This record gives sequence, C-alpha cells and structure tokens, in this order.
Amino acid sequence: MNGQRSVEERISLWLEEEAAGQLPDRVLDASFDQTRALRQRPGPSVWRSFLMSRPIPSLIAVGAAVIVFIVGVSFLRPGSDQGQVGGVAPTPTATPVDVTPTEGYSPPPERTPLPPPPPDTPFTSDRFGYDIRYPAGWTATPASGDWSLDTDRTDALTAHSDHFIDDRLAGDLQTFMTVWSTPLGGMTGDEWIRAYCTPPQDDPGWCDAGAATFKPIPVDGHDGQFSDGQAFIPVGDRMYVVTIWRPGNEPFLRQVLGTMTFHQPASTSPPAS
Amino acid sequence: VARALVEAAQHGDHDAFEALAIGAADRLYAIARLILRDVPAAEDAVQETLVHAWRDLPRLRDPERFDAWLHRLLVNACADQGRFRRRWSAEVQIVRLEPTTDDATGSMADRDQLERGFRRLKPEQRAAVVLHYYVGLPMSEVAETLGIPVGTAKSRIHYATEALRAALEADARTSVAATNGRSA
Repeated sequence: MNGQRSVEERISLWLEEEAAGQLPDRVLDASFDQTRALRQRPGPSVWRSFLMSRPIPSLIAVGAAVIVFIVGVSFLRPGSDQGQVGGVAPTPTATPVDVTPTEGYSPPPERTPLPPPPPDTPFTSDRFGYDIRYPAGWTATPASGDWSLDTDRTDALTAHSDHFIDDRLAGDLQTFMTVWSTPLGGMTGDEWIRAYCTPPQDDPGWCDAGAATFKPIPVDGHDGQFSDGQAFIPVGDRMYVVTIWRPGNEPFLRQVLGTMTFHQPASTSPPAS
Repeated sequence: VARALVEAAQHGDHDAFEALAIGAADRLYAIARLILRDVPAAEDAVQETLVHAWRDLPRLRDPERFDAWLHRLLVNACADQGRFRRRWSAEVQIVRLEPTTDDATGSMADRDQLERGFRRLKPEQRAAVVLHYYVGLPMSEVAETLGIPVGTAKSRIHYATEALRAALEADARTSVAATNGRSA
C-alpha cells in the first residue's frame, strides 16, 4: 500500500494524524485573561496620514531627523576599537525585552549575509557545455544527470544542475548558485522561458522571472537576459540558465556571467552552434 | 475569516477577537505541536501568538490577510519557544499520540520513520514542511509566512522532503534485510 502513495502524500497523512487534538480551554482562558488586561497598540494610521497629507514637509522633516540622528550617533559613538578612552561614555541603550511582531515583522536572519567573494576559480561542465568561474573556497558539485524541463522544472534545487555551494553559510541553503543547460526542444528562447515559468497549478508564485522585467545581458557574445537572480542565455539549440538563490546579488550574477563561455556539451543532445 | 470580525477586533472589540481566536485555536495548536514536537511549548506558543495578535491587530493593514498574519506570528512564537526551551531540553515532553486504528499513513514503521526523520529536521525546515504539507500553503505563501525568499522556502521543503524520503527508504531497506535474514 505504501508503495502506491507518494512520499508527499505519506508526509501529509502523517502530519494530519499527528495534528489531531484540541487546544486546552485553560490556554484560551489564560490568553483572554491577558488580552483583556492589555491595551492594543495603535495602528500606523496617525503617522501615515501625517505623511500623506503633508508629503513634502514631512519628508523634509523626516530627512532632517535622520541626519540629526546619524550625526548625533557618530558624535556619541567613537569607533569600536577606541572604546571609551577619552570620549563620552556611551549612554546605555534600552533594549526592549518585548519584541513586537507586527505585520512586517520577520524572524531575525538565521545567518549573517556575506557578500560573495569574486569568482576566480574555474569550473568546466562537459555535461552542459560551459566554463564559468566561482569564488575560491566554495564547493562545486557537478550535476548527477541531465536537466529536463519535464521533471526538473519544479524541483528548485534539483541534483540535475551544477551546484555552487558557499560553505560559509549555515543551514539548508548553502547552495548559492546553480547552473544548467538543456535543449530548447524546438522552442525559441522566449517560448522556452514561458514554458519554464508556467506555474504549477497550486503555486502561482513559482517563477519570479515570469512577472519581472528582463534586462538584456551579453554573455560570451550571446544575447542573454536576466531578472532578479536568474539569467537565461539561449545558445544555438540549448538554453543555459544561471540562478542565484539569494536575493540582492545582481552584481555577483553579472560578475559570474562575465566569466562564462560556452562549448559543445558532451551529452547526446545535438551540439550547440 | 469574516472581515467584519477582524475589523471589529482591530477597533478594540474583545468579543470579536475571542471569536476569531476560538476559530483559529485548534489549527494554531496543531501547527505549533508539529513544529515544536513539544506540548507545553506549543501551548505557550499559541498563547503568545494570541496575546501578540490582540496587541498588534490594529497594525494589520489588510484584514483579509488575518490568517496569514496569524501564521506568521505563530511561527515567530514557535521560534521563541524553541530557543527558550532548548535550555531545559531534559524537561521536554515528547508528543506521542496513540496510533490510529485506521492506519492511514500506511504502517507503524512509516510513522516511526517519519517521526524520527522529522525530528532530525531543523525547526525552520519543519515549519516550512508543516505550512506546505499540513496547512496546504503554496510555496509563495510559505515564503511570505516565514519571511524568506520563495527560493529559500522551496529549498527547505525540498531538503526536508528528501530527508523524510531517505528515512522511509532506509526503513524499507531495513525491513527487507530483516525479512531476508529471517527467511534465510
């Protein structure tokens, strides 16, 4: 029986079994005891209406306040290596114990974002037919098989792509960049991108590139385009895709694409012209 | 969720808030237990969520997003509980439910392996798995709820699913080996 169910179904079923149960009334009662005695925090309406009703004076006032604050901080806080010697003792800052999870609140970052080092280590993919450079100290893991639009499109970090792993990152997203190529299958580059970005039925947010504005970028003499962290370069009858899995790294993507060159892949598909 | 109830609660109507909270309580509790695997911590996380929800409800801009906002508060509360409870890990009470009679998952072995595999996941992976497979959120909403990029949500679920698949496959191999051993 189990063999007939997918792993995903088995996980869903198991979670449903495990989730059975009701919150004890005492927890609800205790929560309401607290909330009845707790004042709500006012919404942002006062601040927002102030800004919207008087946009220009408000912006000037806000800008002035920011400048005063920055100047003040730079006066009161000497460089960290200077400590307090000869300076004004920094005023202890009150740290709010009670974190405010508002609508825009998100958990603290799990890891410090580190800018990627410059790409200077060569990597050659005979399978996909390209050369590229990636930062020294990263680990390059070649794909274990050919990438396929049918089976790998919905697998974000499929092993059928070359992975470039930033070992400095903790957690589950050490893969910083993936690269693969695949035959266009008779489609034009734009048609292929549309096919790639067609969302699965249950996930309207599948492909960031689908809704974004592409910017042109030449890669090894070919007309590529990119959006956010993903670049598409049609070369002959193949599509090459470079994906950066961390947002805000367009300069790095440009650097990497600047090192990329193409050659005939060793796979059985027709060679790129 | 009835928009009117949310708006009333945003304007200080505690009865409206209670109605919203009662409607969401069991779902929140289930999610918290699945993520934390710890009954007292899950109860505390739900309580913390409801208190924060009441306090910050006026700041919710779109009442239609109440459920998603509540999920985000809950995940944050679970993270707080996880950090807090680790110091008293010896006191943690493991969630163990009696096996159901209809055996929906497939087998006791399945359940044990999933339990073991799930427990080995990092809390942030568990949160993503629970939101996707149990709550049924698409990747984009999982990402929004967790405050992470969609790619990160995908990778978390991908890795977690692979880990659980490996746990199940390891069990299958063990079962076959044991059967062969017995029959030899």
